[in-house]
Parts: sequence; C-alpha cells; structure tokens
Amino acid sequence: MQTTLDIIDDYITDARTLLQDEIQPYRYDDLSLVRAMNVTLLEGRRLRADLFVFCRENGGMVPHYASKSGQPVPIEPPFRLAFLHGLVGHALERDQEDIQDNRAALFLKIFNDLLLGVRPSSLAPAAQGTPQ
Amino acid sequence: MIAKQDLDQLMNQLRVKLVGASDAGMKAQLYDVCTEFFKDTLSWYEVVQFTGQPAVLDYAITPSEGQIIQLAVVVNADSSPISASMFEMGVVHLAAAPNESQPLYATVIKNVTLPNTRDMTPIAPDWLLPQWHLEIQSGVLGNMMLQPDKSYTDKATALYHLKRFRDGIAQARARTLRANTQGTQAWQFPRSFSTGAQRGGSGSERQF
Repeated sequence: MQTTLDIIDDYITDARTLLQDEIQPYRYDDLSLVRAMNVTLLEGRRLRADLFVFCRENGGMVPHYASKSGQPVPIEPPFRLAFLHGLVGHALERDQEDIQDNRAALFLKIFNDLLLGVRPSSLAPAAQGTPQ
Repeated sequence: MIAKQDLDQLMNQLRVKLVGASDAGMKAQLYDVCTEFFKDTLSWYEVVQFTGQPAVLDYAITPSEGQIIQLAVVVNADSSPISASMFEMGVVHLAAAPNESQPLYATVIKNVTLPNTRDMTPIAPDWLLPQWHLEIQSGVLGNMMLQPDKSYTDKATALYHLKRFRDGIAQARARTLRANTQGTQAWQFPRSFSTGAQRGGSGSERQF
C-alpha cells in the first residue's frame, strides 16, 4: 500500500520543503496551502476527469479539505507528484515578485505536464542577481 | 467472477502500454469493452430453472450474475422446446400455459451490468480473460488510445487494436455457434423437421 503523499498533511509538509518555508512563522500558513490544494484538485478534475469520476471514495466528486486534518487524498500514486507541484504553483502565484512568477509558472507547467503525460524538461536555473 | 490473477495480468499489461493512464479509467474502459464483447458475441449464457404453472403465462427469472439481453430457448424436462418470448427483459412469456406444474429451463444470453465490484472490476464470467485476454486487451488499448489529448493518445495504433478486438469478437461468435467444438457445422436441422418414421416427410406416400 503506497503511503507517500497519502493524506493532506503530507502534501502541506512536502510543499513547505519546495517553498523553502519550513520555519515558523510561516510565510504560507496551513490554511492558504489547504486552499491551494482545493483549487489544484479542481484544476486536476478539469485535466484528468478519470482520476475523480471513477473514484468511489468520494462518490465521483472532487474532494475538499477545510483544514490540515489528516484526511486522505484519494489520488492514484503515479499522479500525486503532479498535485504537489500544482499546490506549490498556486501558492506561489499570490506573490508579486518576478522570480516567484517564473517559479509559479514552472510548477504549474510541471503539474500540467505530469497529468497530461508530457515528459518534463530539466528545471531551468533560477534567474541570477537582483531583478531590475 | 473474473479471477484476481487474470485481472492483475491484464491490468499490468495495460499499465505498461498506456503510459499515464489511471487504473480507474482503464477499469471503466474495461467495462465498456466487456459490454461490447458480450453484446456482439452472445457468448455468455445461463440456464435458469423456473416452475411452469397451469394458467400462468409470465414468469420473472433472474440470472445468478449479469443482465439478460436475450432469451435463447425454453425447454421442459424432456428437452423439448417450449414456445416462449421475452417482451419484457427478465420475464419469460409462454405462448401456452402448461397443463400441470412442471420444471422449465430458460437459456438466457447475458451481458455485464453495473455496479461493478468494490474495486471497479466488471462482473464477468471467469472464462473471459483466460480465453480472450488478448482480444479484451486490444479492446481496452484501442479505446483508450482514441481518447484525445492524453499521453497515450495514438489513433493509428488504436485502429490496429480495435481491428484485433473486432476480429476476436467474430471468432468468439463463431465458437459460440459451434458450442466450442472443432470441425462441426454451426447449422443443424430444426427439431420441427424431425419425424418418428424412417420414411420421412409426410403426405408424399400412400398410407396402407
């Protein structure tokens, strides 16, 4: 039984690693990351309906989380990494810095590519220096 | 019921060949493929016993699994055919009520039906995959590859697999007609042509 990225808490914890936001007080609080996950699930439903409509655990509906509650996220194991990237991408979108915009776009692209099956290219290096 | 090892073998082959496909999507497609297979081959049948009663023409029957799609024949205990029809699915309508209570046997042709099992496996006969797993696999592959904008979308290969699937359906239908025998003909003289005398025919010779 695959337990990696099994519950909503796992997604929040791993997202903080990618966001480099592991020290309290957090820049992205738990509730905002949970909200980002809910939105990512909706987008995932649009891209890959088969991951949701045949899922008996949720009666074919998109799951929704009110908090970091330890509830399971019923996504098949090969697709969980995609939703993690989607969560991070959505969280980054609220920032207004140019670098964060690029990072957000990159994560969301990986989210799309993983769900639609496009082989992702290697991550582009972060922009050097201070934005002009 | 499909055996777990047969289903696992099929699913593993599909997982390898359909990169990026979900298990749930493949099982849903498997249900559709099984539906098409049994609808066109008429190969899944069951003999359902019921008791014919005097003055009763309609009898509701239920197969052990699956859904009834056609009535093949109704016979009595002596294997003599009884004239019957099925205007309403699942209800045998006799042309004439029997004179006395007697067991009757309805051979019905079946198809898969919802709901599937808890893990979304279609409820189908256990011989389906051991005998026809290559054809069923082609059916699932072909239909999945026709889906647009997926990593496994491949229309040219889809057509190849769908042709293999349809060829398999034709083979299965032929085997069913021959009752899985080798070298026999599918057509037999109807029972109504049979006579008790060696002379055969009627009205063509003088009777003494």
